[in-house]
Amino acid sequence: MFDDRSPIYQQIANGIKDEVLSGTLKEDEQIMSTNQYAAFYRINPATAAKGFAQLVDEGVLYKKRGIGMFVSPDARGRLRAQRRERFFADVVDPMLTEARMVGVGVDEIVAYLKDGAR
Amino acid sequence: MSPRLLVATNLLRIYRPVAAWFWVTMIVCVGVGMTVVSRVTDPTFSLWLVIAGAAAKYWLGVVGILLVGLHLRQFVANGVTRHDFLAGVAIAGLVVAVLFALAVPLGHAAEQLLLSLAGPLPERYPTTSPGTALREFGHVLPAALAFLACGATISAGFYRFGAWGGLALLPVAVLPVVAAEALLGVDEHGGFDVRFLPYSAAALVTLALTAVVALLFHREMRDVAIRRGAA
Amino acid sequence: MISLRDLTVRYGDTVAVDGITLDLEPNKIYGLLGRNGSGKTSLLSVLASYRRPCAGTVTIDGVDPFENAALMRATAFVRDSLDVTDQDRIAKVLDFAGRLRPTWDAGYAEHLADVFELDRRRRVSALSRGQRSSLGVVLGLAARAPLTILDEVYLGMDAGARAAFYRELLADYLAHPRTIILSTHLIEEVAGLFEQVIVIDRGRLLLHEDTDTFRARGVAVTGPAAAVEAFAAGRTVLGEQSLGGVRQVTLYGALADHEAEAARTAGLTLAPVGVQDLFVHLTAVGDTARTEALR
Repeated sequence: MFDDRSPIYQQIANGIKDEVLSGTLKEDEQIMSTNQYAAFYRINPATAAKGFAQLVDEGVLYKKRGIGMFVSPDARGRLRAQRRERFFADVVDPMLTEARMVGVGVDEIVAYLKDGAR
Repeated sequence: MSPRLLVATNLLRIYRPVAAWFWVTMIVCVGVGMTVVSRVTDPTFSLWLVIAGAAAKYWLGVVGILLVGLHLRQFVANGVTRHDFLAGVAIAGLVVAVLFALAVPLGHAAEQLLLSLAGPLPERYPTTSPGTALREFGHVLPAALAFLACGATISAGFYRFGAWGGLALLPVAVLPVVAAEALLGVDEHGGFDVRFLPYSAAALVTLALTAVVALLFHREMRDVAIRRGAA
Repeated sequence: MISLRDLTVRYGDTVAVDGITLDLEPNKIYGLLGRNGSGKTSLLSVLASYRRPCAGTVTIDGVDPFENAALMRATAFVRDSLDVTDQDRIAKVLDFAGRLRPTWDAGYAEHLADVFELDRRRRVSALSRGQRSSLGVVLGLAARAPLTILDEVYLGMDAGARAAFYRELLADYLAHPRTIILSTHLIEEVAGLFEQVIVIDRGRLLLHEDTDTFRARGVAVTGPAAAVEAFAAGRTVLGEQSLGGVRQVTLYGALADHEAEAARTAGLTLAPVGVQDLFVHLTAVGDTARTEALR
């Protein structure tokens, strides 16, 4: 589940964000405790807690004292907004660089997108 | 239970079956031996005093040698300090030495009883009495303690200081046994060895040397590094 | 809190532990990493009061644990050689531990023995290397000691037994948090369990940090030789190799964003380095100069 190369807590945070974005985790839904998470993924609970703490800082999760962690009501919207902001920089720009290198024109790409992606 | 008592009771538990086997063997040997001898001739000696009297102290010497190599790491690995281990060894050692020293006069009495049941007691058999029993006990106990302390201290010397250091300490470690063998002892005819010194002085010298060597044992072990067993 | 100060262990002329200073907070799982002969066992032996340091001090909450009955009772140290009587049967070994250790959990010991498929009637001397190791794990974990030290306890275990070991260790730690120190040189498969890693080499402390920080430490830089040289200048180089005009160096230390950006504009490729590789580079054979550079 985790690759060996980047901090595990970040991978945990990113994994949960993906689940929120995809709708697997609903808003106001309780997520696994750090201990459950640690036992399930065979990682140190402190690492899981660090990942969760980052998500609380970012407002993706909120804590209910003595009960656990829940997905923030606006988490999905905020994550979408963030990812949209970065979408062009992270996804489109590298594609355009590649296209330029191999000589694929923008009009070709537009045409492909129009009939390929419905 | 205090840690030292815990160590003592567990040591006694470990050695209970071994000691039981030892005494069963003694009883069978002496029983068979005495039966055979009585058939042939009138025994002028007590086989129990010959065999059990000597074997008891040698057995304690052997146990002394095993103590450190076999049990120290086993106890320390379960959270016991060296100090509590050594205190437990002292308690268990004292208990076993007393029990063994009691077994010698008691066995002698039992031997005499069985002989008298089988027929008239042989004329020159060394008979026992409460007074004799007490003297036998008095001779065996210091010797048993001396052998135990000597065995333990010899192996502790090798454990702590290696082959050469262990050898160097050997002459000191055997002192109580030398004293016990030279100054004390019950012979097979029921006689008591008081060749060089009267009993009280002999016992005192033996016990004092045993105490000195036991102190040496404590010094060797109180902060020793716990060695690995065979991996 | 466990504090080591300038801890030194010597055997004659050989220095096994060379002035290590280290603080360990309670209730964490630590990975002690080092190659064979790096001083791991000597260090742990002192921690467990199995031997006295030649110089320096160890304290646990301010108290010297050596011959301290309460602290030694609260410590379980399992060495790969096992401190049990070889002629004893497993049942007897477990029973003995139960009689001496106030914190022993006999039910849990039985559970673990089942997990590792240990036959209680077998004598220790008849066990395979892996089974001996499993017995060590049972003794170490079922003791439930506030300080649990497991020194290379996985030797000879097959992959399945090791996976069971890691699973049980974590599950028991979650249920009964305590300080656990696990020494190993198989980092790849356990790194996730460690909250912090401690790397020692030739008796000296190389680093002690969060596992996640350690993961981000290594970066492999690849590109034209000249550009790589220029970028690597002034940094700690752990390893290097060349193929034609292409050069690759493994650098130690996380790169800041602007440094990574600069590398990319210079036409260099950056790749992370796995923990096992990083460890191998850090403790490479025969390179004392590099070790010194890291200290």
